[in-house]
Amino acid sequence: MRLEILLTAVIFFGGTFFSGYALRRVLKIKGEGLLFSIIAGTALWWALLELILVPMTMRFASFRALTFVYSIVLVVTVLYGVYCWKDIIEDGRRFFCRAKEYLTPGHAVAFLLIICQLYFIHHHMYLEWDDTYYVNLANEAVFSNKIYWVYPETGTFVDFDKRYVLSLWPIFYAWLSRFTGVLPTIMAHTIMPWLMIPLAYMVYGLIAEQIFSEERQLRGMFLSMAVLLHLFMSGVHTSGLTFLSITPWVGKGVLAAVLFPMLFYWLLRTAKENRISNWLLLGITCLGGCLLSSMGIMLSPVFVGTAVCLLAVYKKSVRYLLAGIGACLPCIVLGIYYIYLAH
Amino acid sequence: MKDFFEIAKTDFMATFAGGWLFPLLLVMVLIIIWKEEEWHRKILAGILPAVLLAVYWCPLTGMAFMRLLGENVYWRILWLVPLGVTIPYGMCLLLKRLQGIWRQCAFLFLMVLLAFCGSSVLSTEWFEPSTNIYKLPQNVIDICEILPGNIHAMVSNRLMPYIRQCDPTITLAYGRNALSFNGMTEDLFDNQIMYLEAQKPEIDVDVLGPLVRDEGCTFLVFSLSRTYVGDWADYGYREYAVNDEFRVFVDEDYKEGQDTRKWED
Repeated sequence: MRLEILLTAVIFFGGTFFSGYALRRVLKIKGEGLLFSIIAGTALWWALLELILVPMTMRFASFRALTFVYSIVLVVTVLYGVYCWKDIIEDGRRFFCRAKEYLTPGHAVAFLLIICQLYFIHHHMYLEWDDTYYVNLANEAVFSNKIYWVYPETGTFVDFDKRYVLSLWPIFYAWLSRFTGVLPTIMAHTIMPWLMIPLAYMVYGLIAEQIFSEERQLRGMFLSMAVLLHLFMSGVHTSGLTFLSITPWVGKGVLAAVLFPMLFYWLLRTAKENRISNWLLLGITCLGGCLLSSMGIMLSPVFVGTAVCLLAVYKKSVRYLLAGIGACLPCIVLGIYYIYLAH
Repeated sequence: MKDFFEIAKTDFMATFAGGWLFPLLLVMVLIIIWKEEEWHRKILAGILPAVLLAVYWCPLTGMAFMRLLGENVYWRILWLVPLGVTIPYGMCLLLKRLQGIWRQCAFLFLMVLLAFCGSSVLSTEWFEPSTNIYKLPQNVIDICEILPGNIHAMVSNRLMPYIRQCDPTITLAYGRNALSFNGMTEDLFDNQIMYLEAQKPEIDVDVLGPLVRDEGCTFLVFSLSRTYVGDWADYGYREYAVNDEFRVFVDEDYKEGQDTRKWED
């Protein structure tokens, strides 16, 4: 299983890394570092899947066709990312020059806590009642080659359940399963924690860089406290942070533990620098959130909208407010469509 | 209005009860608003959580969200409060004033405080040691090793949520939606009678036998504790295997390797 975990991690983090560089080149963002590319690339991957998956699901396309189209699109972004090798080398050089910045007690504690979390989760299981629906949705895609035609709990044909048709997150790990040849159940329960937990803390690492750009020691301390909070949180079955430990493969869990911190990070950037590239990244992440859960369609604009309203009032800027609405547009469009489908 | 506050309070307590994280959050919000000099950080890390909490408790916005999201998932609004940023950020603002060994000691103290304010998530209360790479109950794996693939089956409720995660080629007579049949007594359809009969400690084979045959179940998996009135052979089933938890019956007409999956509901 170690080999499969390693292979999936290489595909996911390697792929998002290069796609992130491609996106950065298009948006003309330079000198942001290696982690930034992974986060931007992840948002891009999820947004692209949402863009491709929804129409293909509606057109009753097969899972094999989806895998083909999505893989081709991602390969193009990855190749374009590889083409940005000068940027990568520049960022890599800067990363190694600044490596000492990451050697603080705070970073060491954070690293140890993350290892402990991964070790514990790898050797334990949490039985999620809803997996019988979501994980089987991924299993059905791989085994029957059908996206969402089959009622996952029994395996019989049914009409679409309108609640989930816009947010088919399990198809993402079904797609990953195709590459590694493991059952989506194993991909979800055993491999996904190795992707989502580091990803979540990468986002917190970037947030730390934004708010403590001049204090490297505090960056490590911030990160270790953020990790500890995920490990010592009340309300195990309701609190968003706990989902990173209990169900890091469930769309809602990824939404609460990865996507909302990602949105926070982009909001920090837009507040600091009102550049179009930051707004586009925020919009792409909002679209990616729609893939994770129908809650993403509803809650992302609430979060972004509230923050943008507050910042627009402070900045006394209507343009800022309009840019925020623009970033929420994917969620607004899908939200209206969701309401149309559900009624 | 009373209902709204009851739901909001219940959900809020479910998220924050059993720890001191909410008071800690409030303290950190105040520290950020007081200490942070950069306004955009003050707004995002300090004021935004406070506003989102106000949105959660405000009946006007609350009832709108309850209608939009559903009453039973109103607690998800609390996911928007950026706890993972606000609490560490407030604590780091306190540490910012200190230097050297004092900062390290204070950091250690705050880490301990943070752990005491919450409760351990990685606890055996919620997790159990995994015995297989599927991370499913071992009895599910054991039954899947007994059952062939590509079959239509009726299985014990203990296996029902997990069995297709282990072997997706098995189709089931009913899923979790059948749990809603529990307690029904009148005007029952055949599938409801079938489910309810299969739940009884003493199964009347003369009732269940014809129904599972009509449903096209080639395999039946019952808990070992079940007893039977009647003979399964009368309805064309024979015992296939027994392990320490379950007894498996098979349709006598079933041939090894046959595909008996049922796609139509």
